[in-house]
Amino acid sequence: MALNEAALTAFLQDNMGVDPNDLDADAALFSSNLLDSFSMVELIMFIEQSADIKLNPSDIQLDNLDSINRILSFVDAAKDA
Amino acid sequence: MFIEAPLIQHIARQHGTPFFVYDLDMVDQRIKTLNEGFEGLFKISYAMKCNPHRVFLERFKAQLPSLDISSGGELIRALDAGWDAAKISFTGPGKQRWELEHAVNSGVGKIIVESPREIDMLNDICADAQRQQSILIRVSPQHLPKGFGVNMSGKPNQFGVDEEHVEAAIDQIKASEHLALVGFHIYSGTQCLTPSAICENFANFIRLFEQFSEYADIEPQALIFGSAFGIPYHEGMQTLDIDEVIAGALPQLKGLKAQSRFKDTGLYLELGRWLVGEAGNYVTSVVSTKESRGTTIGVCDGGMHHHLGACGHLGSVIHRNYQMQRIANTQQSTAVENGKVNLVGSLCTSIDTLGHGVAFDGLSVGDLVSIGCSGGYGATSSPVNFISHPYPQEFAIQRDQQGATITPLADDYRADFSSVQALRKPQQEAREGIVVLGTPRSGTTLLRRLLNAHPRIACPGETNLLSACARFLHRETIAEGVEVGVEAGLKHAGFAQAEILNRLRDMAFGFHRDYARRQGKARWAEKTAFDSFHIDDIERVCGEQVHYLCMIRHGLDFVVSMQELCDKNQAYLQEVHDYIRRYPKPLEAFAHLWVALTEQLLAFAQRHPHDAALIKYEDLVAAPHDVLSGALSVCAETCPDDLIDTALQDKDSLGLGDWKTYGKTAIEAGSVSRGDGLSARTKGDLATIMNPTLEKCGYAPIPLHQQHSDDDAARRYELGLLLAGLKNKD
Repeated sequence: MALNEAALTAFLQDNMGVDPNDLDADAALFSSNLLDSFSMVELIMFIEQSADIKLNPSDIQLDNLDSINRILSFVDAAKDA
Repeated sequence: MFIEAPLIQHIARQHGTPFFVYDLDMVDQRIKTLNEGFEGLFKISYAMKCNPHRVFLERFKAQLPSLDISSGGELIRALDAGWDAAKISFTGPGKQRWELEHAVNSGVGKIIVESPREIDMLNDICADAQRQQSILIRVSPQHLPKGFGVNMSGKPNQFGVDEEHVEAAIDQIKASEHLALVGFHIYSGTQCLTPSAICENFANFIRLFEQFSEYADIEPQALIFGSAFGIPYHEGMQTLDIDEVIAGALPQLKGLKAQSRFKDTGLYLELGRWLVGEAGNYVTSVVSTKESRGTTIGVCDGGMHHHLGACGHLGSVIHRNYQMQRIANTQQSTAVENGKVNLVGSLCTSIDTLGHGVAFDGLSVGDLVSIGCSGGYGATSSPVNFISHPYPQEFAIQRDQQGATITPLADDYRADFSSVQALRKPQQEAREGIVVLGTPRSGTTLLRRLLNAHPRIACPGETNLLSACARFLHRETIAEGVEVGVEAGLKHAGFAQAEILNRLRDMAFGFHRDYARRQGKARWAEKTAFDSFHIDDIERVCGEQVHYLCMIRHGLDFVVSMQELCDKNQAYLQEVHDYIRRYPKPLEAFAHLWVALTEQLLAFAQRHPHDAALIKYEDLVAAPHDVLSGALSVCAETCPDDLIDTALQDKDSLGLGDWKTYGKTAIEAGSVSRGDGLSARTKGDLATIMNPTLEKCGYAPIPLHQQHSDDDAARRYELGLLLAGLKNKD
């Protein structure tokens, strides 16, 4: 399963109950309290399973995860590595 | 008795047959006879059931001081004819609520009550209308002298209050705030041709009137004497000797009026047939003759469908011929050999027989047959629609120096019920309360605020009254199946279950009644969130004396809301302990609780299709006015247009249990689907518990979450720790 903007948006809508109007690709997910930490666990599980990667503890920071665009660039970088 | 043949022939030639014809001069003469004979001591009251034709209603309006009616339809017709309602008396054994309401609203002068039920109903109606009503009791005497054609006394009958029970009825009326007992009424027998029997009967009336007026301690305004004056319907009968009746009765009336208690009493003589009966003839033509096995049969164009009485079907045991006269068709005349004919009508039934062995010396097609004593209980007492023959024509005759005037009469005898349509609608049984049953956190508080804003409904904050009643009834079964509880205990002490429930209900409802009264509202409503844990016992206590509003809400919202509540309380509520014991994960415990409560509410609403409304919280917030209107209509209430606004502006009447709704001045759909904030995994777990019930309620099922491997679970835990670290770094 490829991880792209559409897939992420769909996941956030269907499973996290996030309003699509709040889902700009640059919208802050975590720091804005749109998602709580329980949801973040589910989000990371989804990223790992969809992109077939595993996040290191040092990867788990807002710079990599706080918006759809940040997640996508982080995943691209991680796959290239 | 018989109107002159030339007049009859004239009408028949001009208009055809069959018809009724009334001699109005004879009616006038009879009124004069009574007024003069009784020296004005008797006021004549015409019983319009006898002949309700507009011609009589209009004439008598000017001639008579009183009209007796026996139905709401007669009231409508009398008022249409211009009668003053104050001059009307209303008798009849089965008065319906709408009839009494119409009578009270119209200002009918005298309502004659015939049963304890009528007394209560009438008092109730007058309380609503804020009127005082004059009433008389119809007394059914034990005794009637011999000589009456129809006897309505002594034996079991539907008319009036039996003499033996009149004192109890008087007591009941005295305790009725809105009723004034102004007299008594007796109509115990009728169709009497023996003056001495009529006078003996009046003596008995007077004895009863004296006895009951004394018991009631009243100086009656009105005493109504059912006349019982008969008319000579059948061959061999003689007209009632009215002079003899007057001679016998007048001294009695004078004696009564001489008593101080009755000096101002109006004495009424109620009668119908004696006034108009003998003045009317029914005229039909012979349209066919038949010699059948030795008997001459005349087939007529009129018959039973116009004149049931003449055919012997209006209360006669054996058919006796009415007095009748043949006006021969002079063109052709056929002698009848034995001087006897059978006269029949043209209906296809053997019971349509006007006369058996009538003494006519001849019979031909074209002969007119005039039947006497047909002025009362004619067309309106007959099956005029049977076999689709035309209605009878009707004519009036009046004479002066120039001769007789014949006037065709038009009246279809119908009452226009359109003005009383609203009164006639079946009445919803009055129920004093409205009980809101809903899962906790389902928006029952919002509903409470809405109900309380209704101009007729007072709904206090949570009183816990009904759940307390349920706890009072709590019972347990110990070994050997012995039940331990208040009902079992009191049963041994001789108290029936119904009595226990009644006392409990009176206690709980009493607080609500007082509260509603203090708020100036007509009804009360009860809303306590935890009532829904005790639905069965609350149903036993409240039964059919309240309407129910059952409120349900999506299970996920309930679960989240319950968790919030328990967090806030720092404890699990008593009612959820059982579930927490069984299901240690709180959200799952709440889910099971939601299923149990919601299933109970659904079943309850299904059991009560007419007195319970099922409300979905989500529907209420989406379309508050429509949903509330629907729910209120089940409670026999309407929803004022501004109810929602009024309710949300009112912040003064918040009560316990309203912590969530404080400060809300609009109904927000945003508090719907809050359960969506739960993780997919949690929701998936709850889905398996709640989905069947959600679907039953019409909610979309929650998607089931795919199963997780142990590795996933471990990874989740690991990530959780990492995220906690991240959070702390902020």
